[in-house]
Amino acid sequence: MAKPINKKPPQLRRPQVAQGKKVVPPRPPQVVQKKPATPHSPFKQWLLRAIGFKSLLLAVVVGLLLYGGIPKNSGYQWTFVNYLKGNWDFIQAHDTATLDEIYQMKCGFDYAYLNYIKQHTPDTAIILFPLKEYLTEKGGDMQLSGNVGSKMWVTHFVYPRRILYKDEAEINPLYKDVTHVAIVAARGYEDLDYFVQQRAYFDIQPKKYAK
Amino acid sequence: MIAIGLIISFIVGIFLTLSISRRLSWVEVLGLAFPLGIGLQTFLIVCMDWAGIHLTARSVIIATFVVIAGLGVYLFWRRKQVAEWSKTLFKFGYPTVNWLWLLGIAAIAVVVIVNVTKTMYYPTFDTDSVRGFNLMGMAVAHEGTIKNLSIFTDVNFLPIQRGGGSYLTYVPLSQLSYAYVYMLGAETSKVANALIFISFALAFYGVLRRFATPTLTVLTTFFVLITPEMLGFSSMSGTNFTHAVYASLGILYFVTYFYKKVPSLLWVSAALLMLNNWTRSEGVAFIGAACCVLLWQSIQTKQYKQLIFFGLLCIFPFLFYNVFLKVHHLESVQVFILKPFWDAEKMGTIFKEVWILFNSATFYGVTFVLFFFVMLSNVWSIYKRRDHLVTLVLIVFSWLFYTFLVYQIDYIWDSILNVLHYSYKRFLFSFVPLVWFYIAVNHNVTWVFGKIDRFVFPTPKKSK
Repeated sequence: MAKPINKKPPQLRRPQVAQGKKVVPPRPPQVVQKKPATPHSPFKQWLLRAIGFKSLLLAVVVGLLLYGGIPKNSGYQWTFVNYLKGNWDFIQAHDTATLDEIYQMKCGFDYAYLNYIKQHTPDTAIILFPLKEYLTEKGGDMQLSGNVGSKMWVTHFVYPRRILYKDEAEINPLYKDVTHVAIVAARGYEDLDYFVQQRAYFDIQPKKYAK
Repeated sequence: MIAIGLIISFIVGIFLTLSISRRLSWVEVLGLAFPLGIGLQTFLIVCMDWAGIHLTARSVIIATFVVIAGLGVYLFWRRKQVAEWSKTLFKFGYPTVNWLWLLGIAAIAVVVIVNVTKTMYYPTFDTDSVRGFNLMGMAVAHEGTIKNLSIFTDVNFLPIQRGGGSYLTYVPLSQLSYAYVYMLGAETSKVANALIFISFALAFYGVLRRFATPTLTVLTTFFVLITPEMLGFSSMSGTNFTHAVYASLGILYFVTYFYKKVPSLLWVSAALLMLNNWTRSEGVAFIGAACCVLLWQSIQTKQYKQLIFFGLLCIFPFLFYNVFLKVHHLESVQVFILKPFWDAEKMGTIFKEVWILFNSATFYGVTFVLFFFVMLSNVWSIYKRRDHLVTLVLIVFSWLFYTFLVYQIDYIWDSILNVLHYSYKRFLFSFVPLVWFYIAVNHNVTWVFGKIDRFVFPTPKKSK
């Protein structure tokens, strides 16, 4: 069975007078109209964000953490102190150095000697070096490093000249075509076809006597 | 002349990069332009030499212009996409000022400026480059040939070049990039190294920015660049840093292709991995790892064409150069043991030394230690969400493949300990960007930096 519809009669919103009293109708809620916020220009908005203290604070905190933490690691300490700062200071102090001077700073007497050979021989020269075991002997105050025992290493500095060591006398067909002899710690004079009276510890001499 | 020649390398690089993908940011295009451009030019140099063309600055530049014209025609055909891409260049709004980001950029700028100054100031002096890579560059520029190069063919050098560990067997990207610089008239070849370093900083920032917030990206890039041993070597003429750039970016674009589902990025990755294998032969380890992931994907989709094409493309330069050497009778002693074997002592030595390297703060700062820590802390996310599992697989597989290569080498020219102390140490440079990438993009770190970014830059609530 369907339930009977029991609807309440709609209440009238009219001031009603009941028992001689006037009922004051409720006030409609007051809507306080806010003043619309002044819109900032995009530049002003950006400027406001730019001086955002949270971002600045974070940058300061992370910056301090890195500044304090990085030196505790030996690798990063090397990066900043030795590598970045050390090299920068060095380059600033030697910013007028020529390529030859920089090479000499890095490769020492090896470069000075090989550059001397390059300047005193033609491009087509075939240069004989002493036995490898004598290459690092001292000649006066000077001494070559073990790098000079590498044919490829020496070739880099005297290219396109060709070099060979006395150790290869039996196996290298170039030996018979040698044009110059590198004098290392006064060794090599014995390979010249002539006698030299004034002998230097380090020098380059033509194999055959040139008038 | 030097500046013009290098600008041409840069232009061909931009054309090549855009021909491969128009879904790269301008930072990425700037970063990839020189590495891809000079890589393409070195490949052209070998092709020209094979064709009997004398190698001079003029002939190489003319060949480069021909390639630029070809790529230009292709880009004209794709002009709508190029126009779409070019619109991204001019999208400028009022940027949100992030002081930490600015601090990071300033720190990166200092590192880059000092390192580039140092690179350019010193000529080549490291032993390997003096007697190998730089010497070959000088000789190619002087003689205009590779196949008849005196240091490879002259009787005076034959015993050295035919022996084990000969520089003849090194694939030629670095050497020929130096040759190009010398052809242009430079006194030293170091500008090539300097440009590779700048490019790497840009490209790494660009690719990581796809995954991480600007703050996290800039901090991670900073930490990659200050890795002690890698930074030191980046200013030298050796091939290791250049290889690390190609290998790591190749893998990172592969990861981006995989997670961002942008097909063209797979070919950016392929181009970089090709050049990785054109810089050092052992770069094949990274190609192997990428192919494993692609194989897994292919098995699921039952589509194998992409895998085959990707694999062949990546390995092509290495095969091409070896055929070039064989055809011109430029051969040396094989040091790689082709048949499998088991030597427990050798394996033990390798893992013992590698463990020492991983823990070395002097060489790699906190890189590997932090990686292990972050990986352990992320185990739950890896298990539940497979969080960057592919990135991890690529890192671990590349490392395993390379370690296997080291194990398979017959040490007839040097001791295994020397190879581990020097070559292996430098090979790990390729993993430094990959490891830092994982540190930045894994779930936990992303979550923490997301919170920090929301705290510093709260998103304004949308009005209804």
